[in-house]
Amino acid sequence: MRWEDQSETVTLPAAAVFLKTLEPADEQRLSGLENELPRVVVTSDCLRSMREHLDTSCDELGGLLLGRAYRHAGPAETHVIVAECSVASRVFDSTGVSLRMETEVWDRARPLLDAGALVVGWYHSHPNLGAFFSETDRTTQRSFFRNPFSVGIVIDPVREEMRAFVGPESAIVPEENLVVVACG
Amino acid sequence: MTDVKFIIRTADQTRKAEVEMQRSSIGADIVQAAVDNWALPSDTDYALVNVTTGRSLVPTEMLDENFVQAGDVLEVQPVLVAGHA
Repeated sequence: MRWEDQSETVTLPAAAVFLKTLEPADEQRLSGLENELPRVVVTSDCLRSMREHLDTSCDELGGLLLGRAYRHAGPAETHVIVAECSVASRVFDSTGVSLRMETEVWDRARPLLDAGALVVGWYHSHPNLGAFFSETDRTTQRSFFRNPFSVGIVIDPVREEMRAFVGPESAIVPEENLVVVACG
Repeated sequence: MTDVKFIIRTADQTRKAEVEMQRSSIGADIVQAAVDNWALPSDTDYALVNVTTGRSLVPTEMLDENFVQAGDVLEVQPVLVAGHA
């Protein structure tokens, strides 16, 4: 067998281009952040589709997040990660405390990846358990969402909590850096 | 047995390799090569899909011409797990 790796570093566009497309209030909110941690932007349509999906069961549900990632220049370069749409896992096995999403979700995500769009991460629910990353969640993030701009979003639809974790080490995204924007 | 050269990538499309394998190889051999070369978890279930044709390859199935042609793109897709157990 011959194996020649052709993986390329993903080249991300500058965030300034994206920020200019936002409503002024959203642009100011994101531009006004003073920390140098990743910014996670969820479009209102993406949040709505996640919530509509996760509200359908008291057991854990989840799926993939598609969108774009940008370089955000500052004293320390960071990322702006934009979740534009979600792809719900339809073939899964779950309980109130566990979730196994079969591979069909990847097949349904692939046609939605137009030029520049990426699988930016994944999402799942913790019904009435709180929005946190378990050790299993961290392992999944480290194994399959290991770009510095990969995001994992956990939503507790009962307690109305949402948290985001970024990169292979599942760094928690500060609340002020997790922004829902009006654009579709 | 002849060889076949194809492209393999991860499901998130951030890793890619050109691979040449014998047609007598089976799906499990390809998944194992991806696990080894990309340091993917070995305790995860994966599916192997030829995205050029849309066909899936079961682990015991050989890389015959019905499944893969030269230049086809194959994708290694992990089952994703979450939870507290």
